[in-house]
Amino acid sequence: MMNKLGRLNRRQLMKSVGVAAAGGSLGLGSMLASRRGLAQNQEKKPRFLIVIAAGGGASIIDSFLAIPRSLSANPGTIHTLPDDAIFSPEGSPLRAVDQSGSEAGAIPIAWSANQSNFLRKNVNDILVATCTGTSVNHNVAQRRSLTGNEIWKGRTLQECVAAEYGATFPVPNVNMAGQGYSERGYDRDLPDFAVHEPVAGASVWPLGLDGALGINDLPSKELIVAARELRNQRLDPNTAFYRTFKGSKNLAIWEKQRTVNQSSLEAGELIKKLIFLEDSQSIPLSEYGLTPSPDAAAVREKFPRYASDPFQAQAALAFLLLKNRVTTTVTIGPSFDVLLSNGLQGEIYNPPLAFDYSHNAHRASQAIMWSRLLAAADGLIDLLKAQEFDASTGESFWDRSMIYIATEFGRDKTRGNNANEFGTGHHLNNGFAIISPMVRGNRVLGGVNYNTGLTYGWNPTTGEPVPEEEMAERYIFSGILHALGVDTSGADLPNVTAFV
Amino acid sequence: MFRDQLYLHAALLTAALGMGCLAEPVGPVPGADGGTGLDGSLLGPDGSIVLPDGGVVENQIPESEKARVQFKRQRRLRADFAAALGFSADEVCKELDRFDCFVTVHNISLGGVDAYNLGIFEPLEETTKTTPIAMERIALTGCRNRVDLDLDTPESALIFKNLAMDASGGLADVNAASVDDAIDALYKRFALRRANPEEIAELRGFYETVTASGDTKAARSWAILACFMVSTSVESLFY
Repeated sequence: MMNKLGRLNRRQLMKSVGVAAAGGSLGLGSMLASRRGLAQNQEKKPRFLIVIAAGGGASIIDSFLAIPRSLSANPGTIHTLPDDAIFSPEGSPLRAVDQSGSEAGAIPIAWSANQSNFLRKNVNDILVATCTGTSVNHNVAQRRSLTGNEIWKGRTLQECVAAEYGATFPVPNVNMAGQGYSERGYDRDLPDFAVHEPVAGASVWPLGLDGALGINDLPSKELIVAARELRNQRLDPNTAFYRTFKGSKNLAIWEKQRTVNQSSLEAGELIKKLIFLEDSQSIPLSEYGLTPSPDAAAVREKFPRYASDPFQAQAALAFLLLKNRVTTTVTIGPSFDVLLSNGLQGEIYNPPLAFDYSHNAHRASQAIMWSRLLAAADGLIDLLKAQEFDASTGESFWDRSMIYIATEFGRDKTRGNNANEFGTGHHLNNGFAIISPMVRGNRVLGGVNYNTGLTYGWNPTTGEPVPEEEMAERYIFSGILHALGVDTSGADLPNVTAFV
Repeated sequence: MFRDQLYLHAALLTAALGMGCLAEPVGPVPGADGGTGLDGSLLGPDGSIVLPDGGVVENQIPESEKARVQFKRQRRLRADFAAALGFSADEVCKELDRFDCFVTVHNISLGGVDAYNLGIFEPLEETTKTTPIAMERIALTGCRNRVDLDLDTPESALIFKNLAMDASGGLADVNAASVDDAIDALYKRFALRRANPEEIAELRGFYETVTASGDTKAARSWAILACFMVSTSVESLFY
């Protein structure tokens, strides 16, 4: 992958130099041959998918495809934004919106939101692909944003990635989101290991990765293991219950989970690698023989509200899961719960119903929530960039990661004449943001009609805009899997190569 | 199996034995009455019937064709463990002595739902990779708490009653009736049936493993782990 000017970036240069040095020759032919070989090897290495579930309808024209008032023929009735609130890097089709307000609908709390910092920093990794969905029902649309409207036997993107890369990972697919974003796919032929592991509370979930660590005054681990063996091998199999129902699928699953899977999880001592809570008076980990992860301090610094904001706690755990190679795909998402920092005197961290508070206060909701999501994404990117994935190639974890901001739908494009705040309903037309070094960034597939606020389609292979077309969910699904190198043979997906 | 069916089995078995013919022997229910069939016949280690003349009728436990077995899930497990261990529901298990194991920490992996916070309205279809671990943590915590209470206040002991201990913290006599009674109580509380002789022997025998490990609180460790084994058996966790 080269940039638009055909130059290697720093990362690619490092890889090339490393390969050339390893090959012992600086001849162009051998270097390119080596690069081809490297590319083939890299295909076997995992790639990571982070899904940020933007529940409630994250409107793309409130972020990367914002419409400046001056460009629209209907600036007062279409959802345009003041020109001076919109930032766009020179020559970039991407935009960011920085706004503030004195209240968010009926919530009398001042707020400010910033997207430009994220865009400045990550513009070369951001791809926006427009899409028109097929449902304005939250749960249904959430699910379809992850399954491409069930295009591949109803598998979710996360299941596809976990199935491709996760066979040797302890918990390949971790899902901390809710509603339709946490549903299992429909494909029952999916390998067991690729089914998602749900996480209810990110801060304490790591405790569930060892049967005894962190519980005081127990018999030794050796005795516990001996007790398990006696139970599994002699007591259970001889009961009438077991012998009667030994053909049960659920018992077979249980048998595997309590032997193979449990051993794998405990052998990795993951509980010691994934706890990011501080050893404090309120949660005295050391009293229970536990210590925070070696990366806990860095994670807490990046997500300082981890103790009070479940979304930040999810982001913290997401990084540790990836960094410690526990998982290949992780899903996080803010809840629909309202979250304030200090009552009416503080900040709004999460409006009630998240993006869906746009029914009451569109601009404030979209601004606060986009800012919130991008801040979490930025923290994850920083942490993953700082973490070496492969010393031999100079790759960081971020080099092999993708953030997909999944959402149900867009919002209505119209507003009362020149209204600064207004409510919007659900609208099928929208677009998705994908952030990754593995996609051709600083790019919009499709575009937005400034006069209607509606997005339009793109050519799946060239990426050229096609104003008379709209793209269905399956194109997003296929493009993401292609960029992640997932083998989709036999899946009958549309050929979408425009992402890379 | 329903009680009516048990009675039917017993009646048929008795009739067959009385007639002295067992061309198609009807399966007994091993351990359903403390190691004997419902008709009072002795049961062998595999559920076979030991006849008065020493003959053996092979175990005939039929294997279910449909084998529809379900994990009990969070709410029922919480209630069952509380009842079995003699605690209120919120006393059974707390992670780090702070976070309720069933409600806060392991809720979803135990098949619970959380409509208000997570928007998870339906339980998972199957157990997950962490479900057995969560159950073991709950069992170890709850069993530890029950054992400590029973050993510290024997006058109000619930499961481990009258366990005679020696000065080194071991069981004075692993063959004592009180040991059998404790094992039987565990099965009655978690599996809703009596322990059969083989189960009693296995758990009694586990005490040797404990003492061989050099454990300095052998009686306590044995009691915790006996409780752990029974409470996390498939019979306790599935229905």
